Amino acid sequence: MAHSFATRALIGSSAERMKPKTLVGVGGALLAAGSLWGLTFAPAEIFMGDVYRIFYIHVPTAWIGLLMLTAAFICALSYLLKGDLKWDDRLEATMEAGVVLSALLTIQGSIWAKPTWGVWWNWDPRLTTTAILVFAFAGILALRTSLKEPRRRAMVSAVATIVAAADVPLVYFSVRFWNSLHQIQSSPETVSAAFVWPLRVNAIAVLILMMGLISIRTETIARLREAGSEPPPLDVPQPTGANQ
Amino acid sequence: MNRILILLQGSAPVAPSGEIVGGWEYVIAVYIISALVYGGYAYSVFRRDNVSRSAIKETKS
Repeated sequence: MAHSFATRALIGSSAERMKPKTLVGVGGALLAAGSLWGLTFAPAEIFMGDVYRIFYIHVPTAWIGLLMLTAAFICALSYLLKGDLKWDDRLEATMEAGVVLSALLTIQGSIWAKPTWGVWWNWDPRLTTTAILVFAFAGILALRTSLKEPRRRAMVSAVATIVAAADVPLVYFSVRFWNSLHQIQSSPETVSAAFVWPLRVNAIAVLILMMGLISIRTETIARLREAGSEPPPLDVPQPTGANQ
Repeated sequence: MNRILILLQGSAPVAPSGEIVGGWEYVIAVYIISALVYGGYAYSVFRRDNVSRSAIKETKS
């Protein structure tokens, strides 16, 4: 079953029995609850006041977006090692989710920047590396649409994904590598206890929601691929004297 | 030195507090856009799944 990939990889066998639609429902409900918690019951931050409430949706989006693109990198490596087109289906599904989350992350950050930095956009290292990330992976998805032959598409995507994935750690560590307007990475250790629980709830919610959606998407991609023409076998290099 | 400067200026410089007041419009905008993107993406995934199922069913029949 294609949906078992995301569940098995991310939260283990107990959730493997859960249907993807159930994951989407649970994730959506948890996200609504966590967001409501952050918007109403969580206290305002001492300097940023109520604007800080953006944090509860911005940071989970960032974490899971980068996780999805890391998963796409693993799928790319797995395809190159195993040559199984199922890894290409998974690559497309995880990359698509990663691009959606990264683009949303950029919009959320831009809106948060206006009241705190005074500008919608700044060519700060964190923002610049994130913009490169969005365009690089969106470019790979666009490239895939122009390649009809499944094995060629899988090979080109896998190589391009591995190259683009070099930007994922750059995004994460950009606030430490360079002088940045952006604060350092948020984690339960760097966040006040009063703000941690809505953050955790929303992070788990986005993860569950995306696992469900990726599972459904992987099945759709696999179904369409299998319904199309059967891919030709892998090009095996022939010995030089084979035709003589 | 600061005291001399204050005397020369005639009044104490007003240091900005660094606190942001208000800003709910930004918070609401972010949550509405996020809900639209998450909801829209989920809808798109389900829609493409249904379309692919019916297309394959039609091809087989």
